[in-house]
Amino acid sequence: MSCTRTIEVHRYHDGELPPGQKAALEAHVAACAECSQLLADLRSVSVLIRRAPLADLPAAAADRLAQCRPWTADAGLIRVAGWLTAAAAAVLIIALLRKPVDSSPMVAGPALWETLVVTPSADIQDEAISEVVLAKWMADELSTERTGDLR
Amino acid sequence: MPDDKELARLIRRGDEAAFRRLVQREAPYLYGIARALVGNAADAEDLVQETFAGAFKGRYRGESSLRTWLVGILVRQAGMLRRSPWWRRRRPLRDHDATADPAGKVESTAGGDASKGVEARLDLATMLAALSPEHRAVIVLRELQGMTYEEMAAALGIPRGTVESRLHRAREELRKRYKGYL
Repeated sequence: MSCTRTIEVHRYHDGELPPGQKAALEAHVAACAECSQLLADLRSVSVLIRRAPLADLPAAAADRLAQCRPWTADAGLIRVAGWLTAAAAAVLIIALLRKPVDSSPMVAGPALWETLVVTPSADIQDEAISEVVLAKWMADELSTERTGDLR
Repeated sequence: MPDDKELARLIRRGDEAAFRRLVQREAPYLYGIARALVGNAADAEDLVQETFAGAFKGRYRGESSLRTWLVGILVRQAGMLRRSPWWRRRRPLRDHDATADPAGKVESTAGGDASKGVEARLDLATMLAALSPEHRAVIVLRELQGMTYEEMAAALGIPRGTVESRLHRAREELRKRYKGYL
């Protein structure tokens, strides 16, 4: 193979060459003996393959294939999946039906979780108390000094 | 007689009669292609069975004929079989019931020189036996199913450029080997 356009000949043969390139390639094939021979051979190979007889299916193999049931392998799995779905739905319905009705008024005090969320932890509480104590002590000290000055 | 889409829908719903109709209609063709792809009878039969199982699990969208869709599954199954360690171990024992000698498998309807004239015909399995499994697959999809390069790339899970190069090499091999028949 010396011609550089053989790939295009294959594409042309397969109907894969863009329409805009067809005319140019056809002109090339008409002038190039190598590409002309290649195209003729590709056509012959295609015909040879398409006309080639297929191997016969043996009767015993045909019987075995007729007996195969592809859905039987999955049938058990599909059945179990159906049961599990039904069971899950039943549990959900029972849970909804058994849920106690809340009769308390809407304006009731904060729920326990709300109280817990807004209440500072013990450490923070201690810190806040110590700051109050310190402030009180400073105020007491200052007032004592002033009183002393007056004395 | 239901069309391809209706037949596929019935089979997915577990309609045994529809499945039997599909097997009766397509098994001989699929077996012939399988023999050309894997060479021996036992693997070919397994492949066809796997193809029908795959067809049951897969979803046919009607973009091509049901037969072309089944051949796509068959070719993929053949690729998986080829890559399986079990098949590689058994390969020397199972590969090709038929020999790769074309002279021994020519079907001739007229006497004389079998390599000349349209009377001489090679069977597909013998013709493709000279090729690698990858090259057989692209030849089957292109020449027998008429798939485009893009469709072949999608069916085989390989880039379009690889499809083209395999196709070219496969044809070059066939062209050289069967020059006397062209």
